[in-house]
Amino acid sequence: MKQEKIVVTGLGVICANGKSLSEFRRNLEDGVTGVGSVTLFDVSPYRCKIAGQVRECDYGKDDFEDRAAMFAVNAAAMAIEDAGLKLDSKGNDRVGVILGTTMGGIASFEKFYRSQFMGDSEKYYRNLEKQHTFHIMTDAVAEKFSLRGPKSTVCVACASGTNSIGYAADLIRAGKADIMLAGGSDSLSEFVFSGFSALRAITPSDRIRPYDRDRDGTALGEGAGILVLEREESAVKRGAKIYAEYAGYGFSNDAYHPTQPDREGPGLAKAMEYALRESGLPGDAIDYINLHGTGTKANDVMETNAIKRVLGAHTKRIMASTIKPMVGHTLGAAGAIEAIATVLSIKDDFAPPTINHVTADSECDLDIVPNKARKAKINVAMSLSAAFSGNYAAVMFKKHMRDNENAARSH
Amino acid sequence: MQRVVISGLGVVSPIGIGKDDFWSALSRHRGTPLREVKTAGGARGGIPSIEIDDFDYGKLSRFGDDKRTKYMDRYIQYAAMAMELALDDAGLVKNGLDLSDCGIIFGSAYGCIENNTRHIEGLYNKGPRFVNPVIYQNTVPNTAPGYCALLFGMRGYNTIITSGMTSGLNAISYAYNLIKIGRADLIVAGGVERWCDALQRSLELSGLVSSRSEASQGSAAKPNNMFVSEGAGVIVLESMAHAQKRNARIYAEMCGYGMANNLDTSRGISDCIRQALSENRMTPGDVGSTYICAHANSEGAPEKEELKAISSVFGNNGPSICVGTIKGSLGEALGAAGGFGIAASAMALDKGEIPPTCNLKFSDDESNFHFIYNNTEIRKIDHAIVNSIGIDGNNMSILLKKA
Repeated sequence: MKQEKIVVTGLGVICANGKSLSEFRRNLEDGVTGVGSVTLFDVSPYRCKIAGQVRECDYGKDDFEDRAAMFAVNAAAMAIEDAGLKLDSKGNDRVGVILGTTMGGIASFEKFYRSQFMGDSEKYYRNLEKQHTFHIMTDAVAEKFSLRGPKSTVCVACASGTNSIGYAADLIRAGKADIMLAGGSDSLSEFVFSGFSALRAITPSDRIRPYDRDRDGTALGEGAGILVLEREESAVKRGAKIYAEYAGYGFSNDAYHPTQPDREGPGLAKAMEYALRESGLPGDAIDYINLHGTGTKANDVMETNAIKRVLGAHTKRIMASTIKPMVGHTLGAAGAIEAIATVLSIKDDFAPPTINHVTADSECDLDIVPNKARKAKINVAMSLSAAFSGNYAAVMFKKHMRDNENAARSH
Repeated sequence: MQRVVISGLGVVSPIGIGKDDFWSALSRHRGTPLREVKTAGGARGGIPSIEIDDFDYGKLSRFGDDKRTKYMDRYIQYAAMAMELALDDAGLVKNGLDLSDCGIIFGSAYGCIENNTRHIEGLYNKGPRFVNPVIYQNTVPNTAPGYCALLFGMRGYNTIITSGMTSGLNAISYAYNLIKIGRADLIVAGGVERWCDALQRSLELSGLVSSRSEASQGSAAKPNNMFVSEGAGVIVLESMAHAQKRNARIYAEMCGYGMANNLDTSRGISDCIRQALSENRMTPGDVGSTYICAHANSEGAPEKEELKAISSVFGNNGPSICVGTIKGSLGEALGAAGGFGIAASAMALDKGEIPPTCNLKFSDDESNFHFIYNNTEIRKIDHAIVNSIGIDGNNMSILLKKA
């Protein structure tokens, strides 16, 4: 079935190693990490002391705006400007927003709980009942930019950012919108940090080492990533720059166990297969995979197995890296921030490195682009996400055809 | 493009568990008081709320003794029970159909907030070192579709929408679209909501504002005759081809939806209805005899705005448009409301009967639509429209037609 072409025309990102797209882009290639000591709350009771906290950032300090909502609004502003979009402050009926998150306004939920249930009424907290919801960051973006099109929040844990991008594309093709903002946002919180710590999922070290034989857990992160998606014809018509073409997505569940992923990777494999099916491309077309790569013992093995299930022998020919050592596990934003890294990898033909790599693991034997970014032709790339409760998602992008034509001519 | 049908219904509600009890309670209400309504109090005056009585998952479900269900909190149990009822109703479990490629898409306004409160209580009262990892793992709303996938072996599309009160219809529309464009044959979709104190306080503090005129008043007047409830309403959506191939019972066909974010409800809902009609290549004049299952959960401004919207689209259709709400009986079940509305409307289409509106009166002076109070009406309908309106400004409509 013929599908309308959808392209990416704007990007906005805020995370530990970049508070602007250019800073993020540069640090991605230079392998610069933003993961460091947590100062947002007291981590002295915990074994883990690190996270990808966004530095010098006061978002959420006052009572009126939630931290995750502010990440989203500011990243959205960047993306809209990057896309050269002229929005109407009175209302934009054909522009919508889909964001993913794990916890939404969790920073506000902590305050809400304290003020409502712990009698912490010294400070007067305003609007917390609105700010603490799972969808506050989506509402904040829609309100700030007067978006009247489809507005929705996907809340499938760490697969949310990835899932949102595909859903946004679906809505454009369904004729419900002409332009969609898609992405995700989450803020660092003791709520989540304490949980990951209780699960022994976060590292006691000063860094994370996904895919390394001696990896010992992940580190949390925070931030937001926003992509602007629109039909190719409208992007071309308004002379927008095109980063890449959206190719397809998938999301699934491995139905294996309430808390453990199936190590053989069939759930993630299915999400990848759905994405490939929508793209119309064979697995052999993939040049680069942006891994979920959290650095837990279980994830990296599962992910390797999933990729091998889908790509078979082609697995040896791809590059596959994770940027989580540089930004942390940004939860609901991860799918979006990592999709942005994937889009940039296609646009600029480079694979970001998996930093902190020391010793290879024979069970996770992908070419993880260790420690140094690599320049290489990347025509087709995929970004993967995995989540609690057996959920998975994958999203694919490919070089926009004009670049391909130019490349063909230059041979 | 595939045609999409509803082939199973699963309802866990304060007035009945299972679609037959649900329908029977809806059609028999004559404005009698419902089960015990409790007032939770709060900063700006209490809004009554009810929980589902007599819900014992262990006794109700075939998985009651399954050790995998041990850590399912009530939020998950509602979803899983409704799921089980829907799959049974669709004849899927009995006939041993392979569901491994089938999907699950749910919606919830507040999701697992009851469990999240437990987690944060543990963190603040017992301290960081004694946080319970089992409670922590249930602090994301996708435990509902996740456990459902696990129990029924469904490995297809699986996600959950948390967009406030429109979440139920939103989830259903997402599933509908995936089947329509041929990406899936069967997805179970619907909404789930679990009432708790934190949810109650959130709603009361927000004043349940759902229109711009009320928003501009700041601290809005308490909506009249409203109460909050909970539960899960879940439907089996299938491509027509897939349903026919297995001789499934078809309740109704789903043929369109609209989404619009607009605090001006009358504008928002009319946009949504028009989107749904145009998706089905229809004009307002084409709908014939129609039941509109309104969002209306109280008397006052929000319900007026919704009627204005319906009038702006169907003003010329007169009494062939029947407007009603089931929330007088069911309460405002938030994320579950969309699922309840679709289930009720699918049965209305299937049976040729319209359930009455109870406990609420529409401000119906401005329109010549047909309103049914106190008694079920036998009336063959061609279409049904279900609306949801969120206090965040989100609006949704879904269009169903007689199969």
